Parts: sequence; structure tokens; C-alpha cells
Amino acid sequence: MVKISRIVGCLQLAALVLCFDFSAAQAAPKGPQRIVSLAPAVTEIIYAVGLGDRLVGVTNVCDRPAAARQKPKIGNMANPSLEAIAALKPDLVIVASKENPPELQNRLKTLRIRTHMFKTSSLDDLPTEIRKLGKAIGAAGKASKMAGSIEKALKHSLQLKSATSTVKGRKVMFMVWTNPITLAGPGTIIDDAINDMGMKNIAADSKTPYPRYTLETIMARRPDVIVMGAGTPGMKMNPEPVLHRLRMLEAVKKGRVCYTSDALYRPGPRIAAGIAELEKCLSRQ
Amino acid sequence: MRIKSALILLSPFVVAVLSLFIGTYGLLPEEIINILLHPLAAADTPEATIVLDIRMPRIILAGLAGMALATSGATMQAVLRNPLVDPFILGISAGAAFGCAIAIGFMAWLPLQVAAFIFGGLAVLIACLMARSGGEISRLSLVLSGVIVSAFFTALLSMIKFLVDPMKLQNIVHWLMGSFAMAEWQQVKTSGIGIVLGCLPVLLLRWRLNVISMGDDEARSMGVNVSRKRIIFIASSTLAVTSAVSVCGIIGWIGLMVPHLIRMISGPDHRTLIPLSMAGGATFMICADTVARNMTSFDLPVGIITALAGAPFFVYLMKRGGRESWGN
Repeated sequence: MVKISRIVGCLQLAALVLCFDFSAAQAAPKGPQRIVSLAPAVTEIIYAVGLGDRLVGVTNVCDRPAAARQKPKIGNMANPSLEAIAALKPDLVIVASKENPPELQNRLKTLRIRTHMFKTSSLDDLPTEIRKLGKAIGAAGKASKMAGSIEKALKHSLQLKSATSTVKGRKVMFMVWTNPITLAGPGTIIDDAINDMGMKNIAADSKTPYPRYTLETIMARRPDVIVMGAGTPGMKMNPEPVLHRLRMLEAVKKGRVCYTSDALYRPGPRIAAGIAELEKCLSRQ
Repeated sequence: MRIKSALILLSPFVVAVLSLFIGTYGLLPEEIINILLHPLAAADTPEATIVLDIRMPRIILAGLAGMALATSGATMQAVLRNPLVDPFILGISAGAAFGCAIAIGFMAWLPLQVAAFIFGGLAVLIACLMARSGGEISRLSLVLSGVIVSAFFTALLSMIKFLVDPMKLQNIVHWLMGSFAMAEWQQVKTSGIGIVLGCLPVLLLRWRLNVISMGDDEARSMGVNVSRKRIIFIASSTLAVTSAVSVCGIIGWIGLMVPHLIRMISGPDHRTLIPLSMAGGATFMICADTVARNMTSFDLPVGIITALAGAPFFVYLMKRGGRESWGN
């Protein structure tokens, strides 16, 4: 009797070990399987490295790529719903340093949800941050490639900075919105990109990242190049009235006005293209 | 007394001319005088654009808006016989704010000015209709209806603010703070017509405000048709204020402070109060706007300046007992 029960016990143990081994031998996919993104830039990065199907929750302003719009929403960047995030049972939530409220990461930690902080403050740190994010979600290789392309674009900008070309030191005005006139100032990626190219942002002395200047102040600062940003999908920029009121500026008279996309608005995969676009715009004669 | 009144009546023009010389662009007075004397000769220079196309319409628009708000404040204080009333009491600001928000947030095809104008007027209309009972509109029910309509539109506004994306939200909030930043001649024309058409009836019928502010029964015994006059005064003041608010946003405190200030200087008789409030409101707003556009390199919303000036003023008024500024 005892012998039989022992044999059964051993068989059970063996079965258990084999099953365990079996599932382990199937090689569980690396990295978190249920990711929640709390910023549009992060959503874009996750799709760009091919892990879009692991995304289970996004904010309601995550509109790129189009597939992201079909994902379950957890609220907006400034006020995401803790309940909605917890209900999705994520194994990783990616928090953005500037876009989300500062106490959010701690709140998620008390709910025992794993978080990763993606720092979005500076352009020069962006490649490092993308590599860190790639490691956290299990796509280190592709993330490294993305980071590499941004580093290449930044290096190219440095050429403009060090060259003795006529365009070095130009005064740039990057208009993010026309009514009220809102410029990109210090602390934004756009400003970092302008400075990396050796140009000057006319809003460099602003105390806030998106200052609003009067028409008179802009005319007094005499920008050499005007860059018009792209607005958002829901709000098209209407630059004509503002350009008409600024028609006495040299930049407007000589036609040194260019229109860019919103590639530089989000610290994501389109940054390298955005830098190249800005470079082309600012080095025009 | 006459000298004081004359000074107040002249002050908007003096302040307007002085403000033309103040700005961030660094123009010498001689250059500005030259441009004013020979506007056509200097037409295509940046300096002329600054003076004639940027500063001048902005100053004039500020003056008109200040006039509208102060006149309307004095009118509403008389019609409702309440010293704490401002031109927005019947829901204009909440309605206009809602109009602006819905135009920015969901109906991009609708121009901001039109939406603010329509919903501001609509709010007052609803308040007046709600206050009607038995063909009569009493003061108390007007104030209460105004509070209800304001609360309703403010709630809707909060809803819209919550639903829109950050860029649109910033746009809405900026408009609500009130600003003359993008003032241009076109706006001066369109809102100027509404403001003048609104202030004119009040100016012409101002002595009846004396009668109405005595009390409904007194007024009726003097042969004044109280209900009809009330409607005329409310309608005119609404027209003036919605025209102003549609181009510059919600700028508070002027409609409340300026009539009190004028009363302290020249008494509560509406025959002098109304014209002096018009002048005083214009002066105040031009000064506030000049401060707003020159204090920092930013363009501060004017509403912030008037609010910062308003609160201490009321502390002062309270300390003085307030008797001189409210006759009865």
C-alpha cells in the first residue's frame, strides 16, 4: 500500500515538474504583456518598435498611429483615471515626467502597479530615455535604432552650428498657435532643437515654456525666420491673419516663413524627421 | 465741480494719446508725431504699422469696451437698485464664455465673436423670460434668474473645458481672461457699432434712471412706465456689453468699480453719472491695457490687471463706509 502511494506521489511530482518544465521550455515572451501608455509620444514609440498589440490602454489624445485610437482609453494626460488603469490589469504603466501629474507614479505604486518614468524634458537626453524605455518594454534593439537615428540627426544639426555659414546665429520665431500668438520657448523640444543648430530663439528669455507675445514685441525682436507649427488635428492653424499683421517684418517681406508638421511636438519616433525638417527650413536663404 | 467733470470727460482722449507713445517697440516721440501728421507718407514702414495698425485700434477698442462696461454697470446698478451689481449679473459673461468655448471646442466653423455675442444675448433673454411673472419683471426675480442662468452656463462651460484637448483648453482659458492683443480696425468697426448703439439710449434716457432708482411705485406715480424702461435699459446695456465682450473676452471689475468711483467724485445723479462713467470707464480700460501690454514682454490679459486693481479698491470702499458712493 505504502509503496503504491509513494509511487503515485512521485508520479504526481514528476508530472508537476514536467508541466512546469514544459511551459518554461515554451520560452515565455520577454517583457511586459499588458502595457498602458500615459502620453501620446510613448504610444507612438511603442507602436514604432512593433509592440503595439501589447498596448492595452492609452490616453484620449493618443491619435497616432490610427490603430491607437481603437485602444481602450484611460482619460487624459493631466488627469488619467486610476480606476480605469487598474481595471486593465497592466503589468507596466509608462508615466511621462512633464505631461502627467507628479504624484501619479506614487499613486500607481501604492496600487502595486509597475511603472516606468519616461523623462520628456530635454532633446539631448531623449535618445537615452528611448533606450531605457526600450529595455523596460522588451524591445531594446529597435529602441536603440530609433535612438541612434535621433543622435545622427542631432549630430547633423551640430554641423550647422559649427559651420561658418551665413545662417548661423539667425533669430528664429516658432509659432505654435496664432490666436493668441503663442511661441515655443525655453524648456520645449523645439527650443532645444533651435539651440542645437546654433540659432537663437527670440523667446529665449521667457519664463514660461509657451509665452504669448504682443505683435509689437515680436516686431521689436525682429526674427529672421518665422516657423509656423502645425496645430492639432482638431484645430487647424490659420497663419494668414497673423502674417498680415506682421507684414512689415523682414522675414515676412523676404518670404522666410516656413510651415512645419507637428513632428517636434512629441518626444517620439518622428523627432529625427522633425529636426531635419526644421534644419531645412532654417537654413533656407 | 464743473472742472472735475470736464477733466473726467477729457481724460480718455488724453490717456489715449499718451498711450500711443508707450510700447515695447521703442519709437521716439518725434517719429510717432511724424506718423500721425503724415499717415500716408509713412504708410509702408514698420513704424507706421505699429502706431496706426497695432497701437491705435487697440487703444480705441479698449476705450470703447471700457465705456460699454462702465455704462452698463451704472445702468444695472440703477435698474436693480443694488450697488454690488456688475454688467454680467444677468448671465452675459457665462453665456458669452459658453459661446466661445463651444465655438472653439466643437464648432470651429462658427466665428468666436458671433458665438459669444449670440450666447451672451441668449443668456440675458432667458433670464428675463424666467423672471417674468404676470407680465411683470421684478428686480429680485431678475437677479435670481441671472444667478441661475449664470450657474447653468458655467456648468456647461466646465463640461466643455473637461472634454476638449489641452490646446483648445488653453485657447478657451486665455479668451476668458480677457485681452485686447489682436485688436484691429475691423473689430473696432463691428463692435464699435454695437457699443455705441447700446450706450446711446442709456445716455439719452439717463434721467429716467434717477426716477427708477427711487423705487417702482415712486417711478410709476411720476408717469414712468417702469417695465418698459427696464427692458429698454437692460436691452441697451446687454447690446453694449455683448459687443464688447465678443471681441475682448470677459473683463471684470470695470463695470463695478467705475460707477462707484464716479459717484464718490460727483454724486449719484445719473444725469452726470452716466456720461462721466462712460469717460471714466474708457480711461480706466485704456490705462489697464497700456499696463498689460508694457509691464512685461508677455502680453498680460487685461482682466488680470483690472482684477488686481479691483479688490484693493473695494477694501478701500468698505473702509470708507460706502455711504458716499451709494446715495441712499
